[in-house]
Amino acid sequence: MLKLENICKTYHMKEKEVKVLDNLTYEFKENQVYCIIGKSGAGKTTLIEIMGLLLSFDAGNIIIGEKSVKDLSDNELADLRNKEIGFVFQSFYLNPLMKAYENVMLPMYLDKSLTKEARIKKSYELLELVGLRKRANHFPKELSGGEQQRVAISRSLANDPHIILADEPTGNLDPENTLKILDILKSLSKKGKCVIIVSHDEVVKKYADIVLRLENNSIEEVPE
Amino acid sequence: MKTYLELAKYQIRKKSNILSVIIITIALSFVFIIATYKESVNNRLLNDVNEYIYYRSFMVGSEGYNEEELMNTLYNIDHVIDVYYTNYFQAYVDINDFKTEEFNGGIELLAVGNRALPEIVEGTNFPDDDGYYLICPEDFYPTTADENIEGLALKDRFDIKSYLNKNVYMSYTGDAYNSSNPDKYKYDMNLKVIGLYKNSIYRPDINVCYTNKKVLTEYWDNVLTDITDYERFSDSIRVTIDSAKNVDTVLKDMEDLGLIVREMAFIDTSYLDNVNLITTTIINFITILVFILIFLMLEKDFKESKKYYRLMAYLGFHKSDIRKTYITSSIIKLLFCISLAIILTIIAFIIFHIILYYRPFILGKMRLVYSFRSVLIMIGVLLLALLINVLANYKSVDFK
Repeated sequence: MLKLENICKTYHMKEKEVKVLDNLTYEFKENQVYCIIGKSGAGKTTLIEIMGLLLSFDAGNIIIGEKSVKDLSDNELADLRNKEIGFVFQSFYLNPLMKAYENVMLPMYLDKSLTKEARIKKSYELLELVGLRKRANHFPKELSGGEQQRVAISRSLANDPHIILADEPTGNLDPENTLKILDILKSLSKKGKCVIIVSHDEVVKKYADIVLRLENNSIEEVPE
Repeated sequence: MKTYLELAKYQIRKKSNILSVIIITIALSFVFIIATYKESVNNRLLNDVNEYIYYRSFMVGSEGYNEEELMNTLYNIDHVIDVYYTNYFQAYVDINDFKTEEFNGGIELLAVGNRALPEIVEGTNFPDDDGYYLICPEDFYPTTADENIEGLALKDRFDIKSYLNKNVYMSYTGDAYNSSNPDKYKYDMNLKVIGLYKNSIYRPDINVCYTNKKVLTEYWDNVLTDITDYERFSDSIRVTIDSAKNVDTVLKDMEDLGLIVREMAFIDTSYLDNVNLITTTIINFITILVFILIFLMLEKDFKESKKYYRLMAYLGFHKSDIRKTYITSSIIKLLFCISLAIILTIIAFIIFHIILYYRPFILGKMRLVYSFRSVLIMIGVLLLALLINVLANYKSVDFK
């Protein structure tokens, strides 16, 4: 599903260099929930941004499905991101000027085969999946934190991607909503998706099928 | 395009836009109003008034010249369209048929050739025969009393159309001071109204009728030859040219021929220079202010929206898509500002015109002319501000 091959990433500051990832290799598979843990500054955010094709890397390659990203242009990377990867952020990252269904619809604008009516219909169906169909016409400020994160999950599913990347998705939620969100993410993995979560939360680790520790510029599975 | 419009409409929902839009709309409206006033003042002097026949006519001294030869010479000068004796050019007369409760029937008669006539909108110009003819203004107010004109409305104009192809009666006396035999020097004339010419209530010719040269030749010959100490009141030839724009050229040509020339009338345009200086300064100041306001509004908008343009990048939108969305939302906002300003000022313009219909001289005989030129200039300013803003933020949509 998503293969990292010898990924290297170094940040070049004014007078020093900081090596964050060094020949990192790992393969993420479908039907799994992965939880990436690590100390602050270990490079978790860097790793997830590289996997999300939002950040370039110095060496190595990423294979998504059958596609190598190494020599793709910015636009080709953007297209791949739109089709293959869904994002869930700690701060929800919903557009406050858009209603819930409009936020969910946003990635679908890039699918020219969908009419406006089809986009709206699909966004309502995705909100139904997370139990928010009735709140489709509400703006984010009218929703609770848990509801906003559920809208964000619906949005991440807009183009039916194979990979869901979630960066601290429960970071701003209370325990009850944390469990709701994790239940949804778990159910997505059972439907064939590869769910990769970066989190410090112990509860998240318990939901994960595989826990990975990012340490010393590299990644390894944590035994159960 | 439809996609960008749909995406842009979300950004327009921002309430923080409202104040900026209001301020910019007010500033634009102010520019349009000042520019309209400036254009109206210029139009009054340069078109409505300046093209009036007196401001493009001269008196050329004819003493010592063979007058017929002189007239031929003058006629051959570029832009000259009519030439005749000055003393047969003009007269104030009373026409009985034009007397009403509002009007005293007094008109100014001007005798010219066909080439010097203004645009005829109904009827014909002077035929080449021995008749006595009148060509009257469309907006006709047959009164020589200024106080009557001030209180008039556009709807009060005299129904001159009903006199088309009909005769009107004019009587006059040859010697106003000969009281010993008051009936001796009474004359009359039937004048046929054969045409109407284009004018407006704001021009000085609302009581001016044009007549063929025969009429005033006969009139003045009757009026003046019976005065004991008669003298022709000028030894000069009246020369009329095609446009006030050519006054300086023709003046020079005539002076080059050694002729003594005097303009029949001229307008002191120095106050126009002051009006233009003040209005242009205000317009320029507000234009710069509008430019800055728009640039700041767009900058603020972009900075506030940057987070969501970044989101679009994460979701797979290309940089070009994000730029086009931003530009589309900016153009919509700017179009809204300028459209609202145009609508508001045109509504004010229409309301003012309704007022003018009943009180046409509120602005002192000045017709309002809407400045569409200022609209085009401000559209240019808006687009320039947008262009500079887009260029300034061009690289900012690279969210890597």
